[in-house]
Amino acid sequence: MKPKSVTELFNEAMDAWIAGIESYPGEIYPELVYAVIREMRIDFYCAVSCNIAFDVLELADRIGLASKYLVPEKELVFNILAQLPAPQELKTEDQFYTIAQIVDKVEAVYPGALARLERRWQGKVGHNHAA
Amino acid sequence: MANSRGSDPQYNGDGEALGRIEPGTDVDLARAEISPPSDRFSLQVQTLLRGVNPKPVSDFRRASEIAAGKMLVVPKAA
Repeated sequence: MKPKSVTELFNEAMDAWIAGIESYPGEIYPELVYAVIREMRIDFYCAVSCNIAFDVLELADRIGLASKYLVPEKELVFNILAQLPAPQELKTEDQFYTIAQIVDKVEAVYPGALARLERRWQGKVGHNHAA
Repeated sequence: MANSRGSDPQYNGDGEALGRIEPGTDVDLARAEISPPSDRFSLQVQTLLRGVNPKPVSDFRRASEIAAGKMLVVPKAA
């Protein structure tokens, strides 16, 4: 097997999730879509750990299409953002930069996204972070 | 196969510990295993698994751990 880059493997993992939503045997419902996005949290954390600045807008668009636009795209985007690791979970400057790249792209389309995320992250600091 | 670099191999199980892999190194998943695995899916999402091929997801999770410098173990040849 030819070695693959981690970015290639990330894209294949996202493709697998999208295909799973598309081929879901029953009727898709919003909570299922949210559950999948929550499950992707690990993948987002892994991506940021490996400095993969993936495109949240494109991913949300693909999830939206796969789930027949059951959930508004903006809601998908903010759900994905909510799963990103908080800065206090990151270890290197490169990972901070990766998060910034990811969020900047969203902020350009949905102004206020960064402020919303920062409030969320501050809330995490205020509460028990491990919870 | 990614080259093994660094030191302090710690794995004492059935495989051969290779030590740490530098971030950014391509990974040959056919030969790579890490411990502990991080490819468990939540029960709720298992309802989707009839449609999801979980292998690419677990491959990515394992590769990212390897690329992030966690322990890499190559199973013994059969």
